[in-house]
Amino acid sequence: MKAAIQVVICKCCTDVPLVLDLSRLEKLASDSDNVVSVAVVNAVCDGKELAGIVKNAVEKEADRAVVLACHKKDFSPALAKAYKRAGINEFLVEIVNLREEVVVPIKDDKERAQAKAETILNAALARARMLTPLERKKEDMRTRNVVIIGAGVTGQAAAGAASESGVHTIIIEKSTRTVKAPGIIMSRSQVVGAKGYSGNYELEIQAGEKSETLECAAIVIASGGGWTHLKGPLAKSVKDSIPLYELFLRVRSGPAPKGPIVVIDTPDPAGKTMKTQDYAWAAALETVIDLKKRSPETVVYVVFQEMRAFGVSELDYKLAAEMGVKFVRYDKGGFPKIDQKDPHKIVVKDASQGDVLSVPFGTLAFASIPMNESNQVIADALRIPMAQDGGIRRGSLQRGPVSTPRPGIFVCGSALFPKPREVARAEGEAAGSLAGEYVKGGVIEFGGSVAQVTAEKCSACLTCVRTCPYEAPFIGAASKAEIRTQLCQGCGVCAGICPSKAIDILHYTDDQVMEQTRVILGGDF
Amino acid sequence: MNNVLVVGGGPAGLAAAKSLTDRGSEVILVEKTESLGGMARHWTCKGLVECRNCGVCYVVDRANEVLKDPSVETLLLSEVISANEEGGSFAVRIKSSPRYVNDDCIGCGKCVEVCPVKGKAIFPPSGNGQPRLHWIDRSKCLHFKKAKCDRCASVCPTKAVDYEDRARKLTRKVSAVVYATGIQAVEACETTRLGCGVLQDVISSVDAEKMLGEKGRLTRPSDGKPPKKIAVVQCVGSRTVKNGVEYCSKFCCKYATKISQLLLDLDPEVNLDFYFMDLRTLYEPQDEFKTWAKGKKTVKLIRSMPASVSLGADGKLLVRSSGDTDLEIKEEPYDLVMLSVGMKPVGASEELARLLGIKPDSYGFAKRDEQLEMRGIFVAGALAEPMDIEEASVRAMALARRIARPKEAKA
Repeated sequence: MKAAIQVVICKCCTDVPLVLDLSRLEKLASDSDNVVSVAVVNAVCDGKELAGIVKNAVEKEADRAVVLACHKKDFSPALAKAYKRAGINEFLVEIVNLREEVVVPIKDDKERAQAKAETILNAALARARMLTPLERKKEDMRTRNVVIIGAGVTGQAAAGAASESGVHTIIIEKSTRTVKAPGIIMSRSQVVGAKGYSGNYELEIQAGEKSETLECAAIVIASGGGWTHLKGPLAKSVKDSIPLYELFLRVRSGPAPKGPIVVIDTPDPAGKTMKTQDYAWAAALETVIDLKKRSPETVVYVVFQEMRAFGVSELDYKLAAEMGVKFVRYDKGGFPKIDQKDPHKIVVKDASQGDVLSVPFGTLAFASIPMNESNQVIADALRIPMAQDGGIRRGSLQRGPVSTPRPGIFVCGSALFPKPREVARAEGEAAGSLAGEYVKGGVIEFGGSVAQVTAEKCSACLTCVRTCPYEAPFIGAASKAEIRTQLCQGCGVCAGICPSKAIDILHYTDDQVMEQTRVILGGDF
Repeated sequence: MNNVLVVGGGPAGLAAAKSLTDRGSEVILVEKTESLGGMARHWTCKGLVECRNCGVCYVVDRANEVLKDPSVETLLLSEVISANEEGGSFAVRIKSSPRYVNDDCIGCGKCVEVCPVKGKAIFPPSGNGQPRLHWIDRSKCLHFKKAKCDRCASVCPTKAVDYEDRARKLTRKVSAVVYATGIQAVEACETTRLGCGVLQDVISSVDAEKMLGEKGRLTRPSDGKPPKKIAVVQCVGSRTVKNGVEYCSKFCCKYATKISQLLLDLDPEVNLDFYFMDLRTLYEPQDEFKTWAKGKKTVKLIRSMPASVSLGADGKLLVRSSGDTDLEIKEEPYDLVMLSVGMKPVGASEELARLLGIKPDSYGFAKRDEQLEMRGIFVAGALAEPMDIEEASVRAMALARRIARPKEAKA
């Protein structure tokens, strides 16, 4: 195999020469096979020196490089970019961490350090000889559609923000409500299935009685909370039970709710029928304060499991207590029940005092924002993970604040967890902007260090199909496994688990890894 | 003209700057300290096994992105001296102090080693702050005194030390101002009953974050040994009327639960007791931490606010607290106590805020104000109300949209 290697040895600003004899390394490198040029530089992270070595590589007609430097998170992208601009494939630039693997740990034993440096240089050269150039592929997005699931406050904000990037927005709404928002609104529709990958999704939509398919480039989930689904044993057994927002309206504009009033965090304290017990903390406090201000003589109880009065609403908590609102905290063990003899009495065990209280009430208000039950349908359709309380689980914040584990799908608002209107709107705008920004480019990039199947070895046992967390492998027309490169993240799980050793991760193939290991261990093993 | 001044280089300021340039604005980012990242640059990544979504890396990445963005003029070690409103735009004057180290700095740290000043006069950027350039404090540096010391300049391999750097006064015209001066930690030692400042092994969460960030593990400050039994105390300096602030700081439960999980990841044998008043882990599934704690044999959740921490026999710390039912009082020995401190807003009562017409409330928060926004003054980040990195960035993104498209946002 023809390979012309350039070796670059970085002094890391005079750190390396104090321990290592660079001339010996230089000689070893230039005596090795395939090496066409050896350069010693002060600091490869310095832009000028980097330009110098790239120029040198072009002059000596090197087609690959081994750079002995440090492990600096932000220096390797710059290096790869500089070589790429000079026409050298980025996957053929091998970086060896000389400073942190050799110089720092074995500072005191110079001979040992030198020997280790020479071994890892040899291993890197052996690996470099076997590397093959890889290209990242590009594909056009077929449409410029951004699908927004949910036409609530969050969804409208998302549609508004996304449309600013010049993309088409399509809102999918479960109910019949119509709203003013840019783009198309499909009411009485629900997403039931999805195929494809980020940039080119194909959604299966149940619109009324019909089933339709819709192509889109990005998806924003803004399904919101499920205010309307207040069901549970408490809600069932009490006639005069109302959701908190109704209490809020009645306090404001009448008819005045019948006292005494009990505000409770959930219609299902045992948490059997509904996964969530999320509580509209700030709103509940605001409402009871309002109520107390208007009619101070009304007796108000707030029965809760966990008072999460965030931020400045803590002050409301204090104010409400001072105004005479009675707070009763219960534990999982002693959850409230309706008195069997009197349907207008609630029996609850106060967790802090240990007493069982029997509280009469005229109105029972549920300050609960249950998670939307459609979340499960959406998550199943798009195959994204759910949180255990029934919300959509957001992805790592590193990808962005409103992301999911699947690129191109964003999630915002109360689909994550209940939150105030203002925050939900802000999240919707952020998600819409990000989706719009993503689709605007119109091109997706993929490939590089991904899995590859050797068809002759594959026995179509489906192990890879079952194992892959990204659903990249599938059994193709030839009854052999194939990889959807657009979905592959190069994690290597399939390559490790394949019983016939039919899958390789490009750039880390068995041959490349074994050759490197053989040199490090000095011979066959 | 669509220039925007962003005051403050923390999570909110950075997210706002990034979103504004995405929408075609030119941004002038003014940061008082020597690097970008705000408070977040001192925090540690809390994911050892898996990402725990603390958001620290997100801020550092955004800082890097903003520094490379040609549409952002980043002014470090700078302050806005005045802002005059003239017919819908602002004429701002900015004072930029010299750094004395230029962009050639590669952060090798040789200059710090040779600096003869006690406590050093040349510093690396604090924590994970970006850019990774050193800087010289003129008031301490001997070069600017009689000694004419130039040791750092002579040892620098890239000749990055530049004593000729001068202060600059800049005038810019902007159409909007984003005010995001951010927060500071509540001083844990104000609450002396918990032993902070008196007992060495009582540390605040800020100390713990810094120690975890630098060394990768927690050790007892008194003898350097790894602690085997740790107490985490929530709501120190928050939700209190005596010392500290009355409101809930909102994100302390989030970071403290994540630090606890990190400590268990680092050493699964460690015993951890988590003292809390109400567990308010917003941003996370509600019971996730409780479920996690239930699955760990060495973790105990205790709903109680410790009354005092005192020194017991053989250097152990005795935490005195009431039990679940308020009837019994017990004392538990610990190797290390971490106090989770809350936040205070800063900067809302500064001269510039007064000039702009930002009115802080009695706690120092400057709430969102439609009137101000009509004039082009936007308050971003935790200065408006307590919020974490994620919420601050999200809200700053939405705010950028309001700035770029004022008419639509109004409608």
